Amino acid sequence: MGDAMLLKVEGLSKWFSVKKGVFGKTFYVQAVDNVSFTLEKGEAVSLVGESGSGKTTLGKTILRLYYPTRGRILFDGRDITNLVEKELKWYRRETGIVQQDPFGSLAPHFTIYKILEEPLIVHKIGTKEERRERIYKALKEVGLPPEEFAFKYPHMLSGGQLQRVAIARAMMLNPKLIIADEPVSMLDASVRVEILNLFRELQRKYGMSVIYITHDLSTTRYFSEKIFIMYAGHIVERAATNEMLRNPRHPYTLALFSAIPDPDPENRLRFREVPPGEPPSLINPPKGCRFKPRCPFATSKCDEEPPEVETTPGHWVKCWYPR
Amino acid sequence: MSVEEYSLRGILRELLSYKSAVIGIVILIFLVGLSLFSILATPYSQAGEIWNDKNKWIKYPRNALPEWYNYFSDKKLPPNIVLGAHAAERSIENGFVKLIYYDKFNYNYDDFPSEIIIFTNTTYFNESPVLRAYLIKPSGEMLSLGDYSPRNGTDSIYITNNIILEANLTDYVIRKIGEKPSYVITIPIALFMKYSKNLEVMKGNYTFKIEVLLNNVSDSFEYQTIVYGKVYGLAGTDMDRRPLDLGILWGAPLALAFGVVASFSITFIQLIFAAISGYYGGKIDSIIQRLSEIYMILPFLPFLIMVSLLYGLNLWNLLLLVIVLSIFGTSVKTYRVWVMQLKSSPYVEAAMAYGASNLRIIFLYIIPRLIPPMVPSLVLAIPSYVFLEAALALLGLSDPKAVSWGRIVEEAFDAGAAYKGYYHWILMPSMMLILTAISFALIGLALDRIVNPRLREA
Amino acid sequence: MLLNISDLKLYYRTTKGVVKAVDRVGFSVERGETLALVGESGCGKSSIAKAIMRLLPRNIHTYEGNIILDNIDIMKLSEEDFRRQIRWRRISMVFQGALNALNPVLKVGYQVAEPLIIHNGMEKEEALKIAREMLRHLGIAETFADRYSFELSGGMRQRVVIAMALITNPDLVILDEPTSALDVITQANIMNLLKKLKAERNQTFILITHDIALSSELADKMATMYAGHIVELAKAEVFYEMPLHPYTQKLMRSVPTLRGEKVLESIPGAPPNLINPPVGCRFHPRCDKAMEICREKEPPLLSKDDHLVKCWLYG
Repeated sequence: MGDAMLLKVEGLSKWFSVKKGVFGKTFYVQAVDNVSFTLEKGEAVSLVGESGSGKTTLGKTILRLYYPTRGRILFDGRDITNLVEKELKWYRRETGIVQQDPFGSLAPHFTIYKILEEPLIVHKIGTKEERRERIYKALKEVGLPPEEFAFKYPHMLSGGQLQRVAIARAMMLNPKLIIADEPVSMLDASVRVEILNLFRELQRKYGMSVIYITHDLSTTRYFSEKIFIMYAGHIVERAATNEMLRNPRHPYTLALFSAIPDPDPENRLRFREVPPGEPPSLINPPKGCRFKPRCPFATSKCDEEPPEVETTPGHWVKCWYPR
Repeated sequence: MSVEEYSLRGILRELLSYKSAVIGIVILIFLVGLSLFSILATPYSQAGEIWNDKNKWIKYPRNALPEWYNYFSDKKLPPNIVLGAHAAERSIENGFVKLIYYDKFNYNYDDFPSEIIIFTNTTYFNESPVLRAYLIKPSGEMLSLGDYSPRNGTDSIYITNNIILEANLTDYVIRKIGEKPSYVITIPIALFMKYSKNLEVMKGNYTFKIEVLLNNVSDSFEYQTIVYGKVYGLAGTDMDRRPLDLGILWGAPLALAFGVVASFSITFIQLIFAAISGYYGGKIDSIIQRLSEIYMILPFLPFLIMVSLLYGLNLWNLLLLVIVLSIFGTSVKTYRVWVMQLKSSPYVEAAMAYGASNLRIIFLYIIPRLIPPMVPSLVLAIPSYVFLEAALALLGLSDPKAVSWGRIVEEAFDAGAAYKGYYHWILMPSMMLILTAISFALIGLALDRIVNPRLREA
Repeated sequence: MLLNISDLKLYYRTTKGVVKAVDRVGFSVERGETLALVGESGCGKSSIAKAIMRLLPRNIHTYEGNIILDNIDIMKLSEEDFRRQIRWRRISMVFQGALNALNPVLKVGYQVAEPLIIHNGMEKEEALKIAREMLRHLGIAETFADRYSFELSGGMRQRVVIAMALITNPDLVILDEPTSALDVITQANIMNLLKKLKAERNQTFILITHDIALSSELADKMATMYAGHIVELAKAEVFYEMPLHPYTQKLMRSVPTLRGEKVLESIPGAPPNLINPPVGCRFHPRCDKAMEICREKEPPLLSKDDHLVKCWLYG
């Protein structure tokens, strides 16, 4: 593993078991299937997919909030795939999470101060005075004057302010990797920009790697160097942001592009060309390419799971017929 | 389960805006004050002994009504009148030391005393002194109450039990009225009556005269006369002369302690079991759930009765038994669901992501969220445990060494208080039980309205 | 003109005070036209829908104004008349998140048929037949009409909800965030469906959304709402090309677009509290073009050839 590589994911799968009936068979929801990628230190990647694509599950599996079903996760050279909770304490310190719901992700009965103090207490960091300094510094970094905000309760803050606290909390332990799961989806449009900018600034300043999970492809340009597109549990395309936005190659990515409207009054005058149907059920999904039922370019070859092909350097497409 | 301003402080503030809750709190403060007074200002640790010791109450009237009864009745009942400790006229007569005591008292009541007893304390060496008692009525008549020889040491002379005196006075009364009256003549009636066909009290100044003849100069004599009334204290007395206000006072801390300790311990233990069950899931969850189902099927009260019957429990063992029989009750299932819901909240997930331990999450992140919605049922459960103890006492199964309101009611029923008209004996402790229930009910229901937004008016 | 609203007020009573959710709002919609109301959360756009449909909560404080539907002032109708003649007869609504609020114990076909049975007094058999036809037209195969909602995907459930709104052939359909719970491709499919309905039925829509790009998919006329007021109203071409109100301009600049690189700007501050909105223009605390007069007097809705702006810059 190269010096700059922080995270390596190989053939990672996460399946959830579902029992149907008392004597019934056990089915598996193949939420994440055979995912591979690498992440450099200090790199920000957007993981784009719709709900049900497995992006959240992938993020949580990488954080080891779930046990991987198959495959490997290597963090900073160490194989964390099968470690048990006791052995993962150091890993918890190296990683952080920012969640989607600003109102649910902060303990409502803690003050902002306590919310930020908890990670430090859990890892026994600093004396009371040192912690206070760190917390105050963190609040300042995210643009919340500590004198005003430290002893308020979450219900007194707006969504944007709460997400700032969530970002501060994720950074309290100086992590190397943060998983941000749709951090701005529940915020008003005018607030999203601020929060994304803040997050991006802090990510650059502290050289953290971030996996930014989102369903909104339009925001990726403002946040990340790379984009991963996820569909039905697979990563179907990986490329640098500019490259992806200029030359999408996977049929699903192309469908996404044609589906997303920009503000343009001409839109109402024409229909959008989008594939019909919905993503497949992930309980015993179709073998082979999971986009096949909706793909205008599919052939019988697509019954076999396509490999990841590097079309141009750094631009990987999981398709038999990349465009 | 949304959380708005669910801090305990916020709830308290809002509680005070409900009038019903304020009333409940006022009553509660009164009860707590009563309990504190009871524990601090009376020999509470020996309360049971004192209560059960019949001899301690000899100077109290039997079955007396509360003194405030007189405010509501035209017929004024007499209180206890205690006489004695006056200086004697001392003289020597025929070699005997003669002591004459005069006790004056005013009697303006519409009913007759229940008893008259002279308590003597005398020491003598050879022969006992001779005591003669007289009652001088407002009319000037002096009625003899008999001759008595008090024993050495302490003795009590039951004037009103003197059958011969009764016969004599009856004749006297019949002569004075001129015919045999329709009512039965007892000693108190005879001593205090106006001689007329209707039963009427002769009101005015009475004097009690006691003549004592001591044999030796070195003999000593002390006495106290009590003209027993029909009203006493704030709550009257029972058949064993015990003042019910003291009984109620002593019962207060017990009732509150039993109810509060039972409710709090059961609720919190249930919460902990529910938290372990809901958080860890798997086998431990199954075991706890099966246990709680068994508990739901167990008939609680019959079981309790059976054990009490077989083992004659003291109060704290009873409390412990109640707790043990309740800890896996139905609330465990309810709280478990809340725990499971909270476990899947984003903030718990975030805590796992920064490495908080399971115990930390359970006790710092989950359980504090459960306390506000739990508080109403906690408060509302208190009176049910108070009543449980009273119910067991009523069945004769409570601790005979403890003074509890339930026990007082039990003794009242046992003595047939309802048939005999001693309603105050039943009502006073019952009212305290109801008052306690009302207090916690008002507070608990207001809390329920605050914590459960669906019950609120918009 | 199909719908003409003027001076519409909807205030709620809360424990903290009176919330002026809709404060003297007016606009009109022609038959066959789509008006989009765009604004962020708390600006009052959902309350306008409730006001038009007269779906008022218990804590209503003020509800007044003129709502004229085809020459009938429906504000003046009694509850009974409104329910019988207007609600779900002439105006119906697709509620936000309705696809997750379908009745789980009723078959989907029956739910679509229900408005016919209740409002039009139709026989069950006939209503079901019409419902099936409607579902087929909206892209749901006949067999699905006998399924339950949990057996359908998100996109299909939204089509069911739209079918329920259209089944009584209303003049006007209000769509409140019709695609917020759906993924982008399904969203495009639903918007295609709405475009189709607009064309073939000459259907009039009011589209309520926070997504300024999405509204361009259907809107002939655009309106921006801020703090209970309509601050700008113009034809779509004009609106997107040359927005006049500072809020609209800032909103456009704060939304990322897929195509075309642009620098994003955020809007400082937060939307105001509707119990005590700022004096004067409600946007002035966050406006970089605010003048003295903006702090003192509320601007009127000024008109520049059919382009309405509530801003002193154009007075």
